[in-house]
Amino acid sequence: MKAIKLAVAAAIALSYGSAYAFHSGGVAECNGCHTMHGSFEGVQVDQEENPVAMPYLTTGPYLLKASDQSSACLNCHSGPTLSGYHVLTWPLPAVGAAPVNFTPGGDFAWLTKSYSWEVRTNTFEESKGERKGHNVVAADFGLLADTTLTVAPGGTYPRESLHCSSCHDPHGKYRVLEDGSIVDGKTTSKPIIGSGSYQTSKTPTTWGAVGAYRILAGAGYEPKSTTGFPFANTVPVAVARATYNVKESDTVINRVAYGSGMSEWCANCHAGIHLNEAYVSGQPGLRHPAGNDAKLPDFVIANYGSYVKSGDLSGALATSYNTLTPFEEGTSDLAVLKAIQATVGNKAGPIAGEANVSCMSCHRAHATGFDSMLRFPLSADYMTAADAAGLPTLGDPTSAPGTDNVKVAMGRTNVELSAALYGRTAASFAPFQRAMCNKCHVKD
Amino acid sequence: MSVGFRQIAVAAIAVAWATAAFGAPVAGAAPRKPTRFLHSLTSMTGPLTTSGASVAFDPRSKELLVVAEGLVHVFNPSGVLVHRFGQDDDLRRIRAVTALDAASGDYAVLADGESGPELVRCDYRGTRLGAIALENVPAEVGPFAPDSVAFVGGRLYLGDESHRRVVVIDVTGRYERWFDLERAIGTGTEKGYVEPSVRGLQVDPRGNILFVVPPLFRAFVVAPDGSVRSFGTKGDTPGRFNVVVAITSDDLGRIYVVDVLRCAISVWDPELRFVEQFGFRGFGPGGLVTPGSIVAGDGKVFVSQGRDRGVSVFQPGEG
Repeated sequence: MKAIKLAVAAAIALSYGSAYAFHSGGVAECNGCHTMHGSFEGVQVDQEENPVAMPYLTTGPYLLKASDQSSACLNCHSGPTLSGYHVLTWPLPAVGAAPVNFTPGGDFAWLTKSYSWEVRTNTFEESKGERKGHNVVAADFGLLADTTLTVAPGGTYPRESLHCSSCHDPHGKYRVLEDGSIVDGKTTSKPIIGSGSYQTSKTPTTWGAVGAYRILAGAGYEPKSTTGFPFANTVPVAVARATYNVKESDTVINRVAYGSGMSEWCANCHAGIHLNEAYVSGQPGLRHPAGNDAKLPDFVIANYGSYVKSGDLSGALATSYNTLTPFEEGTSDLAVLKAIQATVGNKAGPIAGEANVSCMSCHRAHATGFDSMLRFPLSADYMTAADAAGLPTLGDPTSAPGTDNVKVAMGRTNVELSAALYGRTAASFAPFQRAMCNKCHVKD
Repeated sequence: MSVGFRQIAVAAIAVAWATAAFGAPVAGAAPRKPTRFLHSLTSMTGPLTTSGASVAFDPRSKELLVVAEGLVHVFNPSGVLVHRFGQDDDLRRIRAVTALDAASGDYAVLADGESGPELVRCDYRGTRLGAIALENVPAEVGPFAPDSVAFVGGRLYLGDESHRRVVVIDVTGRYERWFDLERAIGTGTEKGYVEPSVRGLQVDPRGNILFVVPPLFRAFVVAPDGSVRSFGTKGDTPGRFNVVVAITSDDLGRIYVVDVLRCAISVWDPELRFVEQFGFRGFGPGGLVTPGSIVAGDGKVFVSQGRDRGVSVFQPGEG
């Protein structure tokens, strides 16, 4: 039967055909987040006590249109379907169902996904939801403070104060100038002319700047709600594809061209677990290096290029990039990063002497399907099991206790495990695939 | 007792707001009776505490169907939980439900199948009667993964908000037609990175497809003949949209639009003229926190919320 073609007047399309880019790299419309007159002469208008007064203007803290800072963000950045700007699947996915967003930072709904599985009869292992990401407090959406870690690991930032605005400057004051320097609005008179996060973003001019990557906060930043923890390091440099909330597959990836400074920026809160100095193999007491100076040594470059999966070192450097194990390009030049992103799914591998390991090489910024907000599972011997024909599988949470199928599944359905791997199936891996640390280290 | 400037100012603002919200009073006309809060849905052990549930109305029995955590919760016309299904292997992780014909008393549900969403017919107990497989869907429909279902006029409307499509089938699964909502919206992205995400897809008893597009601050009504009407303007005051996430209509053709940012519901007449607004951000009776799914039926409006606040029931205004 012939499909019904909708009658759409051109005038309608023209009148509202432009989708809305709210932040545009800087401060957005004030009333998108705040209600201006939720108070009157310094007194909060309270609907319950004073029902005749302005009921639609009742406010949360800081005149926000939500119970807290993160809830204000999630009013827009949440939803039931994959959408460019959604970072939380809402309503929260049911038991056995997976979050639906695949932004590079990850879907905060993973924070609500807890699992347990029987590694031996009557012996259980557990994966708590709160271990899967940054536990931002968003009470309206059921996201609560971490119950275990009272402060940021490697730092002192308090759990009760962890909001989206702890990392992102909601007013987007940090900006990239024509010379590549990143400053806040106090140190320049140049306005922000648009987002600087995308391959399609504008280029800074002599008179205008572009917004810092993802309106992240830079040096000196302190959210108004939590002072005493000023950022020491500035915003990282990176460029994403304009369409960045994309489910990957066994063959297609959604790359972020991470440039530089990500690890240093993470160290604003996690300084104690960060090491950017020269790493001396064999010396005790050190941490895995990450940072602008943590260049990938030649043997790691060679490993990265050749590693395909456990037991398969047939890869080529030119097509070796894996978003489960990304690296920084080692540049703060937006033009270079945009050039990388000019090719959809660019799989070019690391360049010797330039690429470096970063926090993002193993972790995602928001949340993931795995403990420690890792990009890949590390709590099982294997990432995959095998069927009778020797083909890789993602296990089966309903198998008998102690079997490889149960250990690989880690309580997750195949749908959840595939989503945690950003749409990959078992076919991306070898049967009995070992952890993705081996992409760089090849010990398997 | 003297009346201070502040009281006068508050009263003046209140009158101004009321005029904006309810319209200017007409001499000689009976005052409009505004929408009022009735109660919250409850079980025998206390109020329903779901967050972000989706709601559907069963006109056969005047029951409300609440889908939360993969289960269907059935509430009687008094708002009390009477039944729940979906917790066994017959139906896994139910995402949406609709009441089928009165004669059978059955439901159609969208649940997780082995390889994606599965449309299943089940009886009133939730016992699986069989899958409804889509047949003869033309290739031009493109990728399709339904996340909503509605039974209207003897047909099943399957909605896919991600791909912005509605496919209409008969109760056996045979394809009849499809609607391309992207064409209805009139796409085009100013900066190339925000797609027109569709929210709150519903089909009213007259076969109109209703949905909202938050980034455009607009609500859409697609009639059975394919004609499109839309309305909405960005703003904070009653009759304008901040972040709209859901939409429904009642038996009289009035349309209700949920604004999650303002925690308010705007009401529009069948000609898409603003009538009134109800709800406010608050935790007391009639207050709303993170309002989402909405449905109307039996002279009531049901609004689902976040923060474990379940579902609130309102009586629409009159006049």
